[in-house]
Amino acid sequence: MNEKLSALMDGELDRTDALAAIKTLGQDAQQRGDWDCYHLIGDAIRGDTPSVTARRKACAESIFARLAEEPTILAPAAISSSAKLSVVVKPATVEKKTRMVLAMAASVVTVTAIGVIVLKQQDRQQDTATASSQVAKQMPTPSYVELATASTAATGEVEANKQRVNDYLTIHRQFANSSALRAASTTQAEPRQAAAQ
Amino acid sequence: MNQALLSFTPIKKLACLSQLVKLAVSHCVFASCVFSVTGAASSAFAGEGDTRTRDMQKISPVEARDIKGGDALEWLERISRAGREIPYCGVFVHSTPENSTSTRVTHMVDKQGVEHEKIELLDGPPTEIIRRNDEMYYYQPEEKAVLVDRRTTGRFFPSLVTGNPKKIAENYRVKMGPKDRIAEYDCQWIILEPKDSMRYMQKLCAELGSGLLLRAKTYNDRNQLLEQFVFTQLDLSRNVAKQTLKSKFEQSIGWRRDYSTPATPQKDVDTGWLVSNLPAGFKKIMEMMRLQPGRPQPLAHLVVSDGLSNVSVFVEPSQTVGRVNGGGVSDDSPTTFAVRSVADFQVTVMGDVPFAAVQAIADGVTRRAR
Repeated sequence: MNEKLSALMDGELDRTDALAAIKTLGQDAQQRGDWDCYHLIGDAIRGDTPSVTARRKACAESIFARLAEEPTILAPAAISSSAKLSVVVKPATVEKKTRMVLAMAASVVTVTAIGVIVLKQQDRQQDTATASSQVAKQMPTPSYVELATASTAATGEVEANKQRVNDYLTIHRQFANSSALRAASTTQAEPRQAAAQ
Repeated sequence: MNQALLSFTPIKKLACLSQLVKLAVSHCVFASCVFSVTGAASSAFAGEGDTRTRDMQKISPVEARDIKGGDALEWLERISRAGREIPYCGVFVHSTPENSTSTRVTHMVDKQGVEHEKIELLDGPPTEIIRRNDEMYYYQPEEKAVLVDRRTTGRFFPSLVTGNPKKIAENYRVKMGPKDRIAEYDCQWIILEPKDSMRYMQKLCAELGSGLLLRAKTYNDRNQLLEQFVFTQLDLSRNVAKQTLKSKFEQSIGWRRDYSTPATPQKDVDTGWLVSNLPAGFKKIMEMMRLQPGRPQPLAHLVVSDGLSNVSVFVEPSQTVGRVNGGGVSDDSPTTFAVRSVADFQVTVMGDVPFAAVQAIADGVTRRAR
């Protein structure tokens, strides 16, 4: 089993490691397959009916195939060599592994990180300097780190997504309990006739 | 003014106080609250050695309760009620590791039971927000524009606790912390530790007399402070005049009006979308179709909350080719988001919760069977 990936699912990585792991996940098809597999195992243990996507189906088939030859697939002894390596580094890993398989029940995240959504400081954007964007500058949006790298998305699409997420942020913050005030501005409002109340 | 006042005889002091109250009210009408004046009034009362300072604060049933009440859940209830019900006027600072801004807030409930709130951003271009119950007006004088939102469930600091305390306690360990003093008021810290990875730790300090939130801090799971709100000046000592709660831009003519909702918004519109398998404690509090200036298509917007943290779910037709999945987290903000394709739609879930929570919520977004 992939040590980093299982730790990620288990919520045991700190932020930096988690981000690195997610990034790798976005770039590595093999890992994404593992990710699906682990979740399928988690679903099965929990007794949920897993949502069967094509990849998961493939994963299920491979599990059945391997089960046929190795019935102890879910036991800690079946840890791959890479995981054994980290056993040396972290003596508690074997125990953690066992817990991890069970804890997967709590983690219902299936993300296939293919696209890119990046949100940087608004003042880095070369928007037209409208008053509304000035207001936005005054309450800068946080800079978001990139979780995955796009291989397919065109630049225009990335930009469109960025803008969309920005718009959502503005709306969300009007509703959010805590960060609401930074969002007091609205952006991208276009001139319209005053509507009758 | 303080010095002069304190040197008066007690009789003159009382006469002077009525002057001061008038002065304070008139200041509130034209320029919101003036702290030096009311501060002088309070110190004069204290100087006489009576208890009227405390009595003046007893303006709502909230405060009639046991001030020393040790039950943390009861404190949550008091925080929630005080934010909604009592009159207050003050300046608070919102800060993240990267940035901080000052805001003046004025709040009251009128005789008809309508809640009024005025929020003035003190840094950068002037912006005012007026809220009357769930109607919100954003005045942006530099743009000569006002945005009208008729369906807001949004609440600002110090009204951060919106849910039922018992429900909140199902997902947070609610503990009493130490006492503290903030903006000249004594307060009680309440610590909310999340029971799972779906929410942040919150530390809240509530004023002893009224229960009003004076300081709120949000931490991630590594105990790093993500953001905080804190009052630096506050006046709880008197009723707030209703005129104070009008925007100084309200009468401006020729401003553009933008509406974020259709002309006749209906409660609980069926957007055709459903969020199932929500993380523990989260429930839907709002569902609407939202207009976006400059966009032809309305946007489905659902809000779910665990009583402390809100998460927005946005769904609109996909404008990109193929599937888009991803998200973002930031070290200097509690807000995270996750993006996911569902058929020909793009689902974006954004909230003031850890990334795991927006992912889990995004995973549960499905089209409602018709």
